[in-house]
Amino acid sequence: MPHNPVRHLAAALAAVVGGLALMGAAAAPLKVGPPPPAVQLTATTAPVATPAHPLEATDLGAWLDGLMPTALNTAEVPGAVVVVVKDGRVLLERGYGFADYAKRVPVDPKATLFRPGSTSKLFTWTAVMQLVEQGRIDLDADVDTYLDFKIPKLHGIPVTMRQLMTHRAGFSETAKDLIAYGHAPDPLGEVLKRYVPPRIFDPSEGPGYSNYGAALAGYIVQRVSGQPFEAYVAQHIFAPLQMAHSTFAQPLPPAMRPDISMGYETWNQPAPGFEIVGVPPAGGLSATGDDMSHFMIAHLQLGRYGNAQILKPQTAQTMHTSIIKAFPDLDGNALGFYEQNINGHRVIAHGGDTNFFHSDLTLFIDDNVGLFISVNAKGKDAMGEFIRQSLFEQFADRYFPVQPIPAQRVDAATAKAHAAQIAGQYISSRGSRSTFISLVGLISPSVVKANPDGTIIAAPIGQPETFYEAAPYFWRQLNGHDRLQAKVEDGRVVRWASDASAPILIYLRPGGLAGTGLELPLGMAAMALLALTAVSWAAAAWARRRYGREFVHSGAGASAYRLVRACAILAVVAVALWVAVIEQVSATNGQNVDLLIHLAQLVSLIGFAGGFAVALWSLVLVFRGAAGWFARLYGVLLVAAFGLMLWLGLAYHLIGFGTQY
Amino acid sequence: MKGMSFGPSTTHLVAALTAWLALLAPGHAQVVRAPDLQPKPRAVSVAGTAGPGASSHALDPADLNAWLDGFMPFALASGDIAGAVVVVVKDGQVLTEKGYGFSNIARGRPVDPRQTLFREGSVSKLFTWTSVMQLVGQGRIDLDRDVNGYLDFRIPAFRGQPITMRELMSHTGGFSEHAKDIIVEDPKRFKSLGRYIKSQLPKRIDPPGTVPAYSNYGAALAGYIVQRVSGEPFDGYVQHHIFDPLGMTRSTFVQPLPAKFVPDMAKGYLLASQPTPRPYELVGPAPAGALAATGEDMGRFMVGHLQAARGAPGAILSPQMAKLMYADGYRPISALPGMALGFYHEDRNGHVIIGHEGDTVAFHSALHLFLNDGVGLFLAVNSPGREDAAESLRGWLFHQFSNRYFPGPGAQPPTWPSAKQDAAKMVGTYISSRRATSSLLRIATLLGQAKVTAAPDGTIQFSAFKNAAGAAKHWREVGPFVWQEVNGHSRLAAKLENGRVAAFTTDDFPPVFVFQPVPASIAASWNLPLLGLTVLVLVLTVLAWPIGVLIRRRYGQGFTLSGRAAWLHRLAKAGAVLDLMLLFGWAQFITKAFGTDVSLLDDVSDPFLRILQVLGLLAIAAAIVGGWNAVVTVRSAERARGAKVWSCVLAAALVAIVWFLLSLDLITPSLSY
Repeated sequence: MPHNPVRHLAAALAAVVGGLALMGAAAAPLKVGPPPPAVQLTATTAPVATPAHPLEATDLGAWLDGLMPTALNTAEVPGAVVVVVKDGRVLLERGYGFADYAKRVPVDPKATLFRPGSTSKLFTWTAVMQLVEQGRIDLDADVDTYLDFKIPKLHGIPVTMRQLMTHRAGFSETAKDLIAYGHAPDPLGEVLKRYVPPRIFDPSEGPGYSNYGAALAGYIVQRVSGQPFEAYVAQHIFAPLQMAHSTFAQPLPPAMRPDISMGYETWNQPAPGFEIVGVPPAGGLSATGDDMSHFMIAHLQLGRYGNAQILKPQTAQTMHTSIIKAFPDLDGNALGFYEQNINGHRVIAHGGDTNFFHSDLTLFIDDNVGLFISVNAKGKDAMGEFIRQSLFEQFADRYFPVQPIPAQRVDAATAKAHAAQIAGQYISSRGSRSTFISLVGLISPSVVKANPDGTIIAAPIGQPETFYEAAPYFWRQLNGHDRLQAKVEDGRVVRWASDASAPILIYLRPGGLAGTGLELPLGMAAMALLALTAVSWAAAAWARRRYGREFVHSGAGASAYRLVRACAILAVVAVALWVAVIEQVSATNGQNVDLLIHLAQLVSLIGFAGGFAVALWSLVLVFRGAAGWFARLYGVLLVAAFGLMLWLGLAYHLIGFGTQY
Repeated sequence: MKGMSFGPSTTHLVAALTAWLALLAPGHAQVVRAPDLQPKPRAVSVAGTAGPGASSHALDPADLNAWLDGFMPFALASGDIAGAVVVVVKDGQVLTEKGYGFSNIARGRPVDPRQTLFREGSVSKLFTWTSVMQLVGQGRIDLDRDVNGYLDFRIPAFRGQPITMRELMSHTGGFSEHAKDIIVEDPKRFKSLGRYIKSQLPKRIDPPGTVPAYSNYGAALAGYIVQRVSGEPFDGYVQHHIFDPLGMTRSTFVQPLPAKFVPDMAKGYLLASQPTPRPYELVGPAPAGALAATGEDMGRFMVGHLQAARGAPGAILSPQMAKLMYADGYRPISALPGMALGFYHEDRNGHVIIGHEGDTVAFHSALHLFLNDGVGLFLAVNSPGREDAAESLRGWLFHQFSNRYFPGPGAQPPTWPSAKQDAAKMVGTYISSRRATSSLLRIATLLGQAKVTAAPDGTIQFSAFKNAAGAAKHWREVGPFVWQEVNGHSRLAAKLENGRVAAFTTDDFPPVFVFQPVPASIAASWNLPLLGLTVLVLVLTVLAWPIGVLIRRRYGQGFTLSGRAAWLHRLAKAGAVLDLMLLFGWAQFITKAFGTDVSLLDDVSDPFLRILQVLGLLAIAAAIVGGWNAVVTVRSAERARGAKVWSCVLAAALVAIVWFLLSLDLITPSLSY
């Protein structure tokens, strides 16, 4: 076990949810763990106002030749493809490194297939918009209209397609079976019906990125069109866009298999195999960089590619510009695309992360420029994601440099007061409130810190960034592009987000004990007491034998003494089992974990609930007897410890029966 | 300043010390890294496509600027490095000079290649060596004369042999590694060059001219000779004979930094994300690493040498001296590039390249001259960054620059027939020739050992030669005792004596040290496990003490021993406490001084070291008491068998500590190291 077990656990949980990060978006929202060691956009990437370089192929080629090999080498990523389109044609497409590192197969932008992950969703959303313009889907109708099962209402509010496209259906996070290896995915409808995640927040609260929601939209495409989702996209998008090297089929059709890039942890550690995305409309695409250029050109030209028109200009326009915002001054969600505006230029985008591929598609819609990157490894310290994020920002800074930012700041007193108001612990709206995955919120809440100088440190995408307050409750990143805004109710910051997170998730202030930040330290103190109790049971037994002493308890007292200690052992075992569950889930993407979950749930029930009951009983006996003050205090502490664990067990769904998450 | 660190695997050292420390003081697990003043591997791994064999790009400002603009910002951001300057000269002109990132984070000041001064670290030595060659040209220094002829003190002969200037310039003077006063932060503790030279003379541990062992002391000694021979203070000499003729108006060796340069001096940082500036580093052996200069001035220095290489009139060196200085003169391993006089050869892709790298704690730099192409490349950064990012950056920049603008054939010669037999001969444990055989630096000798292993396919791996992924590189034999990196172009070669491997190295490292087989007595293979076991025994003994007392009290049991037996028992346990304190003290000192705060290597630490030395003497007493206690316990009729066994185990642990103290030379009255 590393030095800090909590950090370790948080990292493991991060990895679990990394499964979901699969479908992360540019904002890489699910970095729930400790930040990876220091991959930060530091001051060095500050947007210093510089003259724009003309975006032409020779400059871009030399620039990328400087950046990409360095990025791959630093991150230990074997290969990448980068494509830039401008004014309706490919300006440059280049492969770097290797599609197969061991066999030294270079990346070929025209031949090598990458896994765009959640960027796949743009194809689902494009398909939806095709059916919307045909009048076959209504963006604002109850989706139950199109389904053969029901999505529960929340406060009487049904789910609509518009909510799905803007991630506002309020679904709890789903992680299980998101990525598997080897076999074809179960039929989409079956997967969606097997577990309908609870709806945990209202559409008006803001976004909570949902793979389930995107998959549901894909299923609606399938139901409305009468074609399997994969076939629909092939016929109505790939074919007109001449994307001959693209497919949603999983596993790959045999003809395409020789061209797929391997996925890697880092260049010496290949992935276990081709990633099968359990819900294909949310992330199942395989495509070449060159094919992705066709898709970008089509969207930049409002649906037209060559002689084909996949969307009417009006429909494309609607898709790109119907913006819903959670915070008035931050980026929001278009229909499927999300905003990633930079340096005063409008950008719509979608990132994608599988376990091993990291991709990003960004469209500078006013400049008629599109950028696509995909890298084939997680990379050292999870730097694969860092590469796609930096490439986008540095590309924007070189070719669309920053407008001078007004040097506006609030006065020092206001900055300090507001920093104090926003400081504290938050949980992500993209999370689970209904399964043990909610432990993320306990182990690794998002913390905002107030600095003495009135600046704040927040980690909207997992890595700490410093912000200064430019206008009331509106902060700008120091030496960076990000902006952060908070909503205040009754003098208290109740939620915040930054550009990097706003279209994907927002941060909410939890109520009750969780909001105080004391849950984890108290829980750890309780577990320390229970562990000590368990150990001292054995030590006392040994010492009694060594020194020939009698056991002082008898009758009910003896039973209570032993039961309390047995339950203390079970409580410790329960925590260990949950650690094992998390390790197992993160190591195997959830294969063969059900039995372990059941066991952990059972032991938690006995250890926490049973422990609470016997500790109460024991306490009654202690107070009835002639025990000294120490025994009485100890009895009270034990009741408190078991009580807290029972409370946490219930609050974080460690006591229950389901194995979905 | 390339200098002062320990073996090639300082990382290994720190990692080992850290792991050890984490045991004793978890709070110190986050050691940053050693102040590495030593030549490092040019960490190069070929992941990208731009390997040799790639097509050449024209070295013109448009391509170069765009390429650097892609390269540098990403490298700084991913490496958490605050700022950098890059200068490329060609045919006597500056092709480009660019600043990236910040010279002062708090003030938001960007690096300006014309204004911002960086510390050049060991690249400073090139100015010392250039000065020497000027004086050689004037007939005032003889490369092959005993240096005592120029000194006002004596360097004792080693096996009857003196040291010559040529040996200082090729780092074959045979000096032991030396760390004290290498970097001082408190001006009050800073010693003049003469005082430093006379008070910090290291031991001579190898015959001169035989073994390369990088020496900051040797370079400082050469600078002192320049001062003696010229009659000018060293910094004044360089000012008048190099800076002035080259028009280097924003460069100085003067320490502390003259006030007029202070506003433009880049702040040094450990990490850009933790922007607490470090104090100005005062380099004790000044001629080995004290320079502060702008990127533009370094461009002038490169142009000066490149013109000298072409025999241009009026250059800083005459054509004869230039030719003599740049020639590949001393090769520790004949199959690999060797040392010029002061410069080292970094020839690659068929191009003749000489250069030098430099490291202080905060600043890292490199200078490369493509002699026949008239091209020079200089890089300096003001933070080491995370996980040695600055070192990786400079190696990668040189590698990528060479391959983009001076590509060579990507030859992959066939595997040598006797690969498997030769691999078997290479297997073993090795240590750098740049080491201390005495003084506390010897701890590094124990911790800095690395292994050659052979794979079934006949390739070999050396645990100290890692690729950027931290995995040991694989090497395939392509000539007699010459190996090439699998999927790469680095070479490794060995020298044999009497049919056995006497030394080897790789062209990833400069030819200023080699790896030699480790003698059995200091082999880490048994010493480190023994140390681990010893610490375990001591910790268990110390932990069991209070627990035993508590349990006895709880159950009202008395302490059964009395008289001499009781006292011996208690003293042996006290010895365990003492030994742990001693280990903790050494671990603290080494980790802090070599990990985060190199300024601890000046006089400020002397009292602390004195305490550790006294504790060391007490540890000997503890071992005697422990042995005595074991004898008494074992002979006693009443004691339980467990007690008898543990008394012997404890005695062994206490004796083992004495072994470490003696073998690492930690029991010594000396405060020089």
